[in-house]
Amino acid sequence: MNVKRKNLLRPRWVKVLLDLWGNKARTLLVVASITVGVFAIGMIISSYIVLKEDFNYGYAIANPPNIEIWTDPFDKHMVAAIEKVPSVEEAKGANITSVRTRRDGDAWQTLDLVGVSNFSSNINRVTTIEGTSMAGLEEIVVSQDWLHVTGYHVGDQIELKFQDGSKHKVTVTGLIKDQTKSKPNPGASNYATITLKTLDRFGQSTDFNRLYVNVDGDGGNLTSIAEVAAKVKDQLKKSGRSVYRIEETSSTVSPLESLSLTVMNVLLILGVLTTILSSTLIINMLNSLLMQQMRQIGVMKLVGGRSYQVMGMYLVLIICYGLIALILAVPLGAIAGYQLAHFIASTAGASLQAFRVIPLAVFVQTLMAFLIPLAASYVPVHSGAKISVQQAISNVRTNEIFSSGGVIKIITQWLSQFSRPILISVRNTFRKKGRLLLTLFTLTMAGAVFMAVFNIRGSLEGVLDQLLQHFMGDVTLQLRREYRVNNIRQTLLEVPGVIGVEAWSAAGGEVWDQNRHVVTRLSISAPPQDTKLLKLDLTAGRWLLPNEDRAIVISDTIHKYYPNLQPGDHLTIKLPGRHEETWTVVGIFPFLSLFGDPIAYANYDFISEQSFTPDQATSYRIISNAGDASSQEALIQRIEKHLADQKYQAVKLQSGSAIRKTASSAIDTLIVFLLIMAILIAVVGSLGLTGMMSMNVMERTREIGVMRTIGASDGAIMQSVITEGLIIGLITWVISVGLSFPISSMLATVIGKTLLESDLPLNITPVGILLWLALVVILSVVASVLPARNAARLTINEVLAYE
Amino acid sequence: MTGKPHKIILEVQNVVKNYSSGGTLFTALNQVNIDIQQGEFLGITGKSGAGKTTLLNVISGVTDLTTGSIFFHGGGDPSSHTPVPIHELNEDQLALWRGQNVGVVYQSFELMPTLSLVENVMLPPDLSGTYQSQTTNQRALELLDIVGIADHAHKIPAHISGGQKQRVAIARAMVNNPSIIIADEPTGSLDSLTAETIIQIFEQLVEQGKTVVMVTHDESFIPRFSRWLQIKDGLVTIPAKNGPKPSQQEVAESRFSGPVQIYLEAANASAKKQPDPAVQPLNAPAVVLRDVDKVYENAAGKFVALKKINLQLNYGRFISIVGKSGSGKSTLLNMITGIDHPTLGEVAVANEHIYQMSESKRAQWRGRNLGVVFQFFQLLPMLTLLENVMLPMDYCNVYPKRERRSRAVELLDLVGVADQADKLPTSVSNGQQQSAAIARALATDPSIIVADEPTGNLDSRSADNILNLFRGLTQRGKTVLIVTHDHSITQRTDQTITIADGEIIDPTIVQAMPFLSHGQMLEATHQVEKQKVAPRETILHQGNAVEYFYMIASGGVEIKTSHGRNETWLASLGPGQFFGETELLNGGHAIALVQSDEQGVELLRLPKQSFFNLIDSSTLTHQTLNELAAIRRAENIEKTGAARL
Repeated sequence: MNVKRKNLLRPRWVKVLLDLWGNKARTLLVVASITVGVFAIGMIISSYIVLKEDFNYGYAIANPPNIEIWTDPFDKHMVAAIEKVPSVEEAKGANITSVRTRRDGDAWQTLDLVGVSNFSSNINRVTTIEGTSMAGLEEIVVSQDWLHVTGYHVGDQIELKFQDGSKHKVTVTGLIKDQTKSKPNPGASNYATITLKTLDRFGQSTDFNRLYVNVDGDGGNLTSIAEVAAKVKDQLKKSGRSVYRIEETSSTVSPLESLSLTVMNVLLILGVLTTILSSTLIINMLNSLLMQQMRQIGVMKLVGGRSYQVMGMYLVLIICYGLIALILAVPLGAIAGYQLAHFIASTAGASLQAFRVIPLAVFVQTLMAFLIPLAASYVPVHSGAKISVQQAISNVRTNEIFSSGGVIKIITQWLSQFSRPILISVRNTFRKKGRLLLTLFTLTMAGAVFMAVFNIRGSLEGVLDQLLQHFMGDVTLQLRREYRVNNIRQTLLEVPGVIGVEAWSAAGGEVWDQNRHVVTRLSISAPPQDTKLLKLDLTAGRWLLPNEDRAIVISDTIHKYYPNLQPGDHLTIKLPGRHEETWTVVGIFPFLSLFGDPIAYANYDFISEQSFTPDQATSYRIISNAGDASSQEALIQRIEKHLADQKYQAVKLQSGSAIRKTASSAIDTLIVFLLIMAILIAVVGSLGLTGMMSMNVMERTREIGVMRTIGASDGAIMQSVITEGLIIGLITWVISVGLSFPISSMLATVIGKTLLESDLPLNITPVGILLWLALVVILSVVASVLPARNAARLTINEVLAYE
Repeated sequence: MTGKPHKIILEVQNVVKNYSSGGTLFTALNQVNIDIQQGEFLGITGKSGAGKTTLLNVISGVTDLTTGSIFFHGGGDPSSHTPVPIHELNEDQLALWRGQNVGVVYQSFELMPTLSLVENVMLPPDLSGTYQSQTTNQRALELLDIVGIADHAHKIPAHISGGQKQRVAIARAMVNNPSIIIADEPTGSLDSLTAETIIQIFEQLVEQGKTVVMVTHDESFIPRFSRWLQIKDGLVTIPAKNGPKPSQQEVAESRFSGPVQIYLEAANASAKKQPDPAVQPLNAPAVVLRDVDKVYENAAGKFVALKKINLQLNYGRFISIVGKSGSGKSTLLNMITGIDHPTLGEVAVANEHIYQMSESKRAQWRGRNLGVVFQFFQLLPMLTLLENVMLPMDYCNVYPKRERRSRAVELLDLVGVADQADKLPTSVSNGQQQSAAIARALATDPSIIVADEPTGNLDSRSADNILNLFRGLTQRGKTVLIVTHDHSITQRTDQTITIADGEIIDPTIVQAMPFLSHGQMLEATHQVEKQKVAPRETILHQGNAVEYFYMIASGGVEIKTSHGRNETWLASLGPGQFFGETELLNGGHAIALVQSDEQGVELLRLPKQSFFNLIDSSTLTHQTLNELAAIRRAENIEKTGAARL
């Protein structure tokens, strides 16, 4: 090969360029090590910034309502009147009703039907996914997001069964995404929009029952929103209508901001972690590179090269590696970051602005691509440059110490009696202690994060189980009107699979202060006093006693308003249509402030009386022997048929498993995201292990040749290398198990504080520990197989030529 | 030699260099004093491990001193320069000093693999601050032209041969116009023709006024040096100041007891070579090579490492393979151990055709049947000596597990290092490491032990112990095959195989004409004709013209003179001895009758013209044969006269 080059560069710089280009495999490995870290940090920062900038921006663009009011039926004139209330910018009415729907051959499912007069309102702009966002006559447009999927497609013919039992067919003409509907609400149903004209044609009421209001000025100012809400409420009351529920929300800050914040916090932690791990990988790689180059360093010093010249050459080489890594990592990091943000935002139903490169990410990536390799390589480059010519040329290495103490010594002495080949693997493992430590650190961290992710998953599942018991039974039934509890119970118990029925009443109360001002709204549920569906883990006090009136067990989220509230204290509570009364707090249970207003439990008999429906209920929770979603769905079909046969009209029937599945899908999203990060770290870890094993094999080529000379077969050589990899993997597993506890705890704190706004009780699960054991064994073997194969393929002649 | 020494350029004063090996102090250089003079070609010879490379490293500032001093006097007028105390310079100062004043050439070339040849030569100016793009490039090309490799200037080192690499290394050493060139075994990896070219380049440099210091173990170069120093166990044995250049005869006498004596003793030599009668060699061949060729091919072209090797080695013998570096002796050993593949031909070891096995299977076979000993011991550093010895038993699954430890202890005891059994290799001396390596080679009780330069890295006392150990093994029935370039070792073995440029030199030629270079011996091997003579058959008739130089391969001859009916016995000659030289050197007619003895004889006969060509190219051989012819003629006259009386 003739490589005539013009003398544009001095020979030493030619060498630098050729080192870079000539040994592509090595360059690839070093660049890959740097790129992984630089890419990961770029992805994390890009994702962080995009989420931060776009999450609320996308929400604000949708112009969600500041005030949502559940009230008695009203018409467009009332809407016009509300729009005249001071500080009201716009108002909109909707007719919301629950219907049962199905496509031909499918099972029935519950759908909230939102009837609107037209689609001209600016409130709650939706994004069209497919088809149109505006339904025509006998058409519906279905809302769809990550958590709410009906399975309906544009063009599907859907049958609607209204609460009066009438059935009508409509066509799905569009799929839309509605950010305001993606907020956490375990009971939330899928919904679709329909025109009032269609409802009218189907013989349904065309009155509104839900009022949406937007305020003038700052849509994020909750105080002014509350003031406007009070005025609107007064206006409605003046018209003789009752107000059943009011929700006030910011139109500038997404209710899912906490999810976004959680993800971003986790991203930051993982970013720092990835940076550290990537740095260790880079240190190992560059150490190995310098070791390979030691002889050439010796030659340069032999022919006049001084330390600073040698250092300069290798630092430039490392800068070149960094530059290549940067060129690769910046676009990849930006794209992956945006995609990650998109994934997280989609989960929350949020939309992002267009793709863009984040300058801060590029800046940090640039720093990382150059500073970390330079810092990582400074020690090896410096000591390499200072090495004596004789040391460099004779390949004498003095940093291998075989003396060991403690447990390792005892183990190796014990092993020595049985098998020298395994003894070689064990002693080799601890031969390059610095390199081993760095590899152990990387793989251990990967393992610990991996296990922590499963612990967090377990913890969140635990919270979810705790949470969902407040909202559901195996099947939750909503009837069109109140029926006598005994009749319904009797009817339902006739359905095969039903083993228990509980009537749950509910009331929306308000907590008042001494000045008769509303402190907070209170959602009061009233299960039977001996309910089997609630197993509250009370933090203080006790559960309700039979026939105990004006007594409540309240969620700890009340502490936001009454920090020192304890069992035995009193609250002034007003129920709709009743005067305010003094209630006694008898117990406090933990709950998530994420879900807004405090919730409370009171005795069923008392609440049903206060609601003027004694011994009656519309809502029933059914206990069954159907555990999984499909058998619960079958049970629903049986219940629905049986109720219809008995002339009872069910408005809503929900499977507990289905609700749980929907709710846990949000957790799964977070877990998937965490797992992606853990896998990224595992990739860094296994890359580190592969690098280490390759370096070990390369440096021990001569010893492998000697082993071959004295009778070691291919299998024996491979076994030696793979055993070493496995030992390292298993050591990291043991340490990872220990380290996973503090990491789990730290992640639980971060996720708890940001996502749940409460502490997340840590639930340690063996799943992650066992799964990582399997994974680390596989990773160790895979990481060792290639170097082992290379080792086994070496002929002794090559080995002798290696000297 | 035209370059006359006229001033001291480098002074080595009372230099001592100690190394620590296995916790014990080892003196590599002991009170060395040398004045190196400008324009001299200083040769330093010694066996492996003698300290010659250490001396060179000390001179070039590559190794620091334990005590002593080295002063550099520069290249110009001594009075205008303050001597540079090399021993006081730090690493960077040394690098700059070397770059500007010293050119270093190593046996292993040490070229930068990624740079082209011209860039390699341009590197020292770049690093030592004298680089000017065009000028340096021009000079590098000129130097490559001088060393005869300008045509390949833009190739990379991997694409040229070893000899070409060494030429590049010399060009690189000269690029900064240094005062002194230091060369460590520069011909060590080269064939004899290329080695000669390199030496000629050095001689030209000396003629141009450069100083060349070269270390080598090849004593055939001694006559080429303008001054010769010898080093043994760290001691320079010839006075450093103004040491006289030895004559060729002195060189020969330093290797042997005296050239004529060698010839006279040749008859006894074959008797000496008989194995110990107590341990009769088995008739079965341990190793058989048939028509083995080994050709290496790379971008630089084909290189024939072994050519038509036919060899049979029997069990129970102590055999040496000798040859210069690069002659192919290690390749031959690799063929026998199954470490490398022959390009053509068959290899059978212990009746196994080892190249019909997979590499993996061959490794196991080797573990069971061959014990391999390396020059650098190659004990696994993470295992104790005891564990190292147990390892082959584990790999080959021989001996019950519970017996392996006791067997290993026994073997370590046999080689005299049982008390070091639990130490790591780095904690014992080189000699002890090699002893343990031999114990490891014996672990699976193989019938054949092969050793590649086993004493090459040991001091003379340790080397002696190791050779005794090998001799002991042959007495236990083992076959020991060692590769060495140390001729003195061959005197302790039963059989010697001499190899040059990939071919085996006929042992009869080696014995008969030991002062030929290996290249000349090989040439003779190519030119001899074999002749088998029946018992009591006449080979030369007195008075007839003699057309050949005869060497006795086996059997014997009787030399007689006849005068009428009277026959006078003059001499009996045996294997390794020769006849016909007296006639060829003195007129060409037989002065006596030569007849095979009662068992017949196998002869190698070298045609007259080839004989003259050979002795003309080897002054020492010519001179020695002349002297021997004179002695034989005198003996002839004396015995004939006595018979007449």
